[in-house]
Amino acid sequence: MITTTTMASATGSRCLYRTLFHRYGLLSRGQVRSQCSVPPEDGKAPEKQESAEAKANEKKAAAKKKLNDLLASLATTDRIPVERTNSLKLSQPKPRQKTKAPKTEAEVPPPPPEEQVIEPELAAATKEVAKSLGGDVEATESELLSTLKSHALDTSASEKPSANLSELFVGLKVERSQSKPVFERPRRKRYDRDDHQRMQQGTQRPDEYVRPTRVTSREYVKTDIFGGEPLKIFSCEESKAKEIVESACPVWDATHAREIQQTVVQPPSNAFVEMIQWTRQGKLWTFPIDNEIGLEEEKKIGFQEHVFLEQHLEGWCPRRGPIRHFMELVCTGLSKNPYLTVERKKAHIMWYKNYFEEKHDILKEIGAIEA
Amino acid sequence: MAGAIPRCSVRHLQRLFGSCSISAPVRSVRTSSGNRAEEIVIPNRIPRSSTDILEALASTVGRDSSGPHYKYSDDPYLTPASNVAKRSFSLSKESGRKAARWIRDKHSDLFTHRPEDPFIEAFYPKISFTDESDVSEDTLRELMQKCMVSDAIQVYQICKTKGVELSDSVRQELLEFLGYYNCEDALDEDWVEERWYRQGIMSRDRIRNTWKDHGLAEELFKSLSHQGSPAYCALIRGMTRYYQVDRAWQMYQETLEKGIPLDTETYNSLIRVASLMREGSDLRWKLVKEILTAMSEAGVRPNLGTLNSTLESLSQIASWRQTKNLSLQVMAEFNRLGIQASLASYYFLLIIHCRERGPISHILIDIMNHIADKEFSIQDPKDTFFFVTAMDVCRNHLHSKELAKRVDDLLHTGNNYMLIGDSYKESIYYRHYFALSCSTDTVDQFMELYNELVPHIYTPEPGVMEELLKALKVHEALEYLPQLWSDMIVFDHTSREKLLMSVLSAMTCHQPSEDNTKLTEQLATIAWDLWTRVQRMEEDRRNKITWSGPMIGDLLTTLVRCGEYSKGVEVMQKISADPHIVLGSATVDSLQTLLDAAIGNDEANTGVMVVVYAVDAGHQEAADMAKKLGSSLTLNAEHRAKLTSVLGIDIIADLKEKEISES
Repeated sequence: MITTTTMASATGSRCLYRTLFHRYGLLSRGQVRSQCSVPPEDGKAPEKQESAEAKANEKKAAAKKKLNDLLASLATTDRIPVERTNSLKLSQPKPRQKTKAPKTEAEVPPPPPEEQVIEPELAAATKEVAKSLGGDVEATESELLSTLKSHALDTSASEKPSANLSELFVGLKVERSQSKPVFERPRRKRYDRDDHQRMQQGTQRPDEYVRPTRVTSREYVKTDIFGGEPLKIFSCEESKAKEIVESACPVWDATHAREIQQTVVQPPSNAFVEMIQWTRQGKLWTFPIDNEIGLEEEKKIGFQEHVFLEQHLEGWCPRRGPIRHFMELVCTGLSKNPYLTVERKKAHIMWYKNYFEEKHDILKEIGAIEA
Repeated sequence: MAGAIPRCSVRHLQRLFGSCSISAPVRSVRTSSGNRAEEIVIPNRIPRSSTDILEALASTVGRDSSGPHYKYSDDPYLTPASNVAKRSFSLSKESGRKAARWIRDKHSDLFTHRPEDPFIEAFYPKISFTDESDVSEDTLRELMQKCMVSDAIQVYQICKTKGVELSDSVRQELLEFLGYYNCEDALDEDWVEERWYRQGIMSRDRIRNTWKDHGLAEELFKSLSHQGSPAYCALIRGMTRYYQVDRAWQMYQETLEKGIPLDTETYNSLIRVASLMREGSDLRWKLVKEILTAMSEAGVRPNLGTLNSTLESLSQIASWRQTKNLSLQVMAEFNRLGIQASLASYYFLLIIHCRERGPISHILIDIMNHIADKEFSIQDPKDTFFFVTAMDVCRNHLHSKELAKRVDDLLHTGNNYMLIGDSYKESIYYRHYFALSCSTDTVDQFMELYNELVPHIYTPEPGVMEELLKALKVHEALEYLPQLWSDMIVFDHTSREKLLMSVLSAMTCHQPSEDNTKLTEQLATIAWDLWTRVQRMEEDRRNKITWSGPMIGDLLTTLVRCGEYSKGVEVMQKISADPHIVLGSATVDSLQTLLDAAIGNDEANTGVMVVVYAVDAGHQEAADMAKKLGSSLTLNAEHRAKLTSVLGIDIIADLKEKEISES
């Protein structure tokens, strides 16, 4: 029976602790459980002491005692008897941040009144605790709440969680069976997922981050982006003395340059931009307008070669007669044609040359060529 | 905005026409020929590229926020306003182009008419390859130039089957090319819209090993007669680019064993993925430092890519306590080496220093002090992330409108706007800017910004619109509500329950008076429009809006208050006839408002209907309402019977008795 009542009171207090834990990050889950659920084999001396009391007193008193013990131990004992190792010390907040904190703290406006109100969860938990304690339920509750309220005010602006923890229990009338020296140790204020992951990875203990700084450091704090201590991996002299190592993969680099250039291409914003795009794709006459564009080959050939074509008649064409007359007309026609290249004009003339050579006999017969 | 010529354009024009200053002295020489002859200095010809004139002209045209974007039809009726419409309009336009190109390539035999001279390659079908095609190294090189991955692979296979000898140099080039694209086709450079809308989606789930193991790239690597530094570099770069981290690291170890030197970019790529190779922040950083030291020992000169990769690795361990300090150390180191940081470097700094749940860092102010008024060009793929992140920091981290304005000014300096990235980032950028302005500025200031950007540059998302409506309600600036409502119709926001709720609850704040009769009328119109819109929705619509009690209450209150009593009655008739269209029931306050109006209009029918509805809804105030009705209006027998049947007692009789007893 005794254990059931203690358990009942413990559930009430567990609620409180959980809320406390969520709000202030004072304990880890494991610690809460070990403190609150109170298994029967947990320390025989207090158990016996209690059972002696139980015989004398009522069940309620036992429950009350249990809770008081709990509260007392919470305030007085250093829960985890872990030695602080060097690595833990290393991960303490940097002195710079510490010195910064009080300066900025002064500038914080007091938090708006609605933030000071105790959350409903917490209030409900307090009520439960008060009920489980019995006696003057309302008085206990108001006592608890007022302490919490003042505490809430402090935490929102304060940097020192450890002091607040003891403050929380100062106003509570807790019967202390024994008093132990109070060891203050900085506790983690917040418990976030990132920290959790890092804890699981077994790396640094993350305690550099405290929420209040977020609220406090609204004032501009200058960071010199180039003012850090250089890594000193590369030395300037060496990089100057050495020839720039050419990239081993020119095609890769060209492709990469083209791709990143494309990531900033936006739909054309006006007609000029669109024309630029078309020009680059080779769809548009390039500016300044030049009507000889694309005629680079032709530029190497002079005007005279297009116009004076009679020279190609030398050597095969008769000096006079109908064939000469005909071929001169052909040359005149070709010399006026802007669409044919010199090569094609020559080929044209050569075709006639071959034609007339084939017909040489007939031409001779009819007297078109002199014998 | 469009009136003034931007500064950059002046610079462009100066560059173009700077040499024209010669004309003035010449004229003066002619007019005063008798005087001493001034020396004429003929400036050197400045070579111009074919697009310089166009660029100078384009720079004189600013973005006109009052008109639609150039890509949309210049027809007010067809101009898209909502985000969905904008997207589908742009993509359909491009889709048309794609369809045309597909037909052209599919039926290349039909497109043989070539009237133009010179020949324009872009207009003709691309050459397709078959096993019989005549291919050579040059074909391969040309395809790589044109960025045609699958064709290059095909040509390579043809070369292999036909026994065409490929030199080591072309194999190396192909290895780099395929390594870069992981043997997959890249998006054609012509599909600007697709890229504009796609990148946001692409960048979400990037970190995944997608490297094609034992693919063609690796086959090429093995086929090289001598696997030297370039081959290793290309393969390591390819593997790290597609997150085949383990094998890339293995290759790196191989080069160390064989003493093969690597180039800067390859080291950079290894640094970039270093954090994927180790668990734990300190180990990761140790690895990065190891690679950097190896670079230094090998005498490889670091570049901007090295800086950005190092910062990127650090940004992946940003929750580590030392990261912030280290990032500044890295910046200092590279500054010492004379390497200019790019926007990507600042982006990583922001990620490292401005953590969502971390302490506030004002590093953005320092960055802005450093880069204000500078023009940037893209140097790193991550450069485009800077502006959107900076605006995010302004809104969520520093809550500084002033800083946001500075970031926005930087974005509109020179050609910096191209670094906004893509449509996704652009819209997030403006979302942050809007929300920040909404929460820090006065309503008038904010609406000024709204009028400038909406709808042509930015269309507010429903979430932003909701915040906006709430701000209007808080500031009681209902005069802007009609404008917002018409915008909401255009943006297709009227089918969102949350927004309608915000509109309705904002409208109940209105207090009609002599001064705002026009607004009162407008609000009544909005309320009625809202009601008809919701009623018109088809039953089977997926996101059909169901009226909730508060919504219908607000609607009734607004209609009655704004002088549309008859419409209020119409709504009342509808909801008392079909109570199931409302989830819950109209609020007591609204019913009382309507009852008062009914009494004022001497309409017993409506009054009784309201009371009956109130009783059915289970409002406790129903009896009081009935009493009020009974005492203010004379009810006929039918009305009394109705009231008696729903209330169970004859209130009117009670009242009369009371009156009699009192008198």
